[in-house]
Amino acid sequence: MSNGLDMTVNLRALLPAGEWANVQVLNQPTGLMANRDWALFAKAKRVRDGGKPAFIKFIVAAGSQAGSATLWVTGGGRLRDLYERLQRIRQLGRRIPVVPLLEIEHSESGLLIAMEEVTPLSEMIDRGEAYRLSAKVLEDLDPDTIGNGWHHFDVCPRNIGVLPDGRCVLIDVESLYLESEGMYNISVPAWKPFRAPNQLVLDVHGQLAAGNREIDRALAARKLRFEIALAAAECVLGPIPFKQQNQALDRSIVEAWVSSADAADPAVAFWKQELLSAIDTASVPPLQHLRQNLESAVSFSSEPAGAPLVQAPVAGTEPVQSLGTTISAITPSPAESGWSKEWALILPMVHALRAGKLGGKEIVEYRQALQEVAARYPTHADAWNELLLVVISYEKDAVLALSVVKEALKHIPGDDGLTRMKNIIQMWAGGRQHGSH
Amino acid sequence: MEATKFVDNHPHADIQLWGKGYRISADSEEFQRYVPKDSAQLKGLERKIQAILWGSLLESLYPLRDAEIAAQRCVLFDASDLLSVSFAKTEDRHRRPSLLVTTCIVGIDWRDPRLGEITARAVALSSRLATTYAENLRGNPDLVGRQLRDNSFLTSRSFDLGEERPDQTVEWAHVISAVKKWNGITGISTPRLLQLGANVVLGTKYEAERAKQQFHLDGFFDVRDRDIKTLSDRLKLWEPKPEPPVHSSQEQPPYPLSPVDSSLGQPPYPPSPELRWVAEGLQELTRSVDRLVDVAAELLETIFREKRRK
Repeated sequence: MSNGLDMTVNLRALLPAGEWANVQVLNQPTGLMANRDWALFAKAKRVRDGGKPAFIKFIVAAGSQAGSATLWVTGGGRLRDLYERLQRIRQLGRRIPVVPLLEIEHSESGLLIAMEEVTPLSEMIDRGEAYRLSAKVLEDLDPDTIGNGWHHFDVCPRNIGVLPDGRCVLIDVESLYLESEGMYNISVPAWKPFRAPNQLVLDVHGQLAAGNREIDRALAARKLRFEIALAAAECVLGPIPFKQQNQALDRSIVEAWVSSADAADPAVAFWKQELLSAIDTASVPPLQHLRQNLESAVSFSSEPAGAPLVQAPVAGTEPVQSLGTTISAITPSPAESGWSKEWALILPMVHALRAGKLGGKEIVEYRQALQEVAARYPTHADAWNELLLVVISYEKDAVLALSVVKEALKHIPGDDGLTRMKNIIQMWAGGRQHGSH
Repeated sequence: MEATKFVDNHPHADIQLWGKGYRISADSEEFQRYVPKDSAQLKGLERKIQAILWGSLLESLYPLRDAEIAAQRCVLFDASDLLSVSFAKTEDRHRRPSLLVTTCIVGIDWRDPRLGEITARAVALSSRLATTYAENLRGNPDLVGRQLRDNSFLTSRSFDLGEERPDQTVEWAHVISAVKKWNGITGISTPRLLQLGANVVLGTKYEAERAKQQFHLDGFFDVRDRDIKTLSDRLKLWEPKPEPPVHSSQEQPPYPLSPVDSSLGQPPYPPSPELRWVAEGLQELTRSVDRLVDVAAELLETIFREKRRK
């Protein structure tokens, strides 16, 4: 591996011609730079598995003359450990939201990792194509729902990929670690501290320094959640504009970052609110809650009327088969009393709304019915949340939304979700007024 | 069932690769088997392929365009395996045209209702590998020669059919359903590949009768009737056996009389490019009849509704 040409030839030689086709080496360093390159990258077509497009990374093993820093990252021992870890990760399959690993080969010359080709999220963000992925990132990468016991130490849009089927997965697989006795041993703690608030940076560096490059489960979960949420925010807000390694994320950076986005967009308002809150507390709520709140708050004005882009799921209920239930059926007969009975009557409409089966007039009638239900059962947050969803996402009425949320808070004071919603709506309503001037 | 390997319920196939320009299984650069290098690994129908006189067959394919070569189909059968053979054009180290052959053998159970789909996947795999390897071997790169010689060209010659998109150029479900009815079928192929040993042609009656002058041909697959028409008395319908009480799938007779593949009912595809216009005409006719039936049904429904109102 003395020069770039040799490296290219060697990579092709390492790939069996019966297993790989259309191999295109992406970096072919020559001259002085050749000796500094620690990895080779290639695109190829996997001959097996139906001929899938693949991305190949070959980490060149450090030579015997390598310095200590190089040995630490690409030494034979580290590559062997990495090979064994990746084999275990591969066996776990979809229990970790990682790019499908097609082949992992370890030899004296290095470690070859072949994975399914993805579109990096960072490219989609740069092209302005990631807006719709904000909720998807939160859903697909959520360790609480996908499966825990793993940690990715460097989550950022460059290390998130979108598979051809639309699933978001983690790439940069060397940064993936598996839990052992409540701890993660971070062999190469490379990450981007400018993507975390100061307190989180201090906590991470503190544990790494104290515990032989180890962090505990709780801190790992906090860091992971924050970085995933930040990547989801970037889908809406665009890339973080300030990227200095020694500058932690703070309120002023978020304010400046958000100021360039469309203030009238409730998704922008949502993320501004959430990021500022996360910086203050150095943590974010569970990603599932974050996603649900985002879906409730977001108004996707570019979508056809009555069909928001992000469909809020309703758990534990059967999907409506047809729109047989009319609006009047929601209003219970005197014989039917009680919240649960009324809510059961509403559920078909809940589904019909999300399936885009309600027209404009029906949506207005549905909202009026919900207002009646909320008035009868003012302490039930579900009724207020559904009402807010209709007013925000379908009727797109900021003034009405504000009055609804204020009314709701009168009856359920101190409710976190409603309070957060109120703040977002206030910003949204303010942005609209500002925009109209 | 020698070659059958089911992993995660997906059938697996073993492949062969043939070409010229390297000294792999023979001490010359003439047309020879590259994979597997060792003939001891060969199974059933694969061994039969070794005796083919390739010269005249390859010669007849050289004048064809790449797409015409890729459109050729040949599937050979025996009691426990099927073998698909595909060809592709490439170039030798002197940039002269050269041909490459891939085969794909799958262990089968004739009672398997998925047999049509398995065949379609096996054909798709051999076709895809032929065109892929034609590119990888173009110009006989030294690197590929080294890998073939030291057996590092492939990590294994066993391929999973699970992710293979079934071949759509032939209605394999119907073909296999027809093949199951007849005793004595050795294989089915487009006319140009009959030399490989198939005795039923995927083509018209005219093509079959012409081919019969040159090969031992016993029938042709009629796309219109989706059935095999015999041209000799060597093909016999399987006699129905008295059915013993069935306790498990293992105890069923090996060759059911009228097996039906689960994927029947798809629109017919022409078995070869030459027959495409015939098949398309038939499809159009069928669609027209279907439309007429629909219109008639709607009319009847309207009449009955009116009567009921009165």
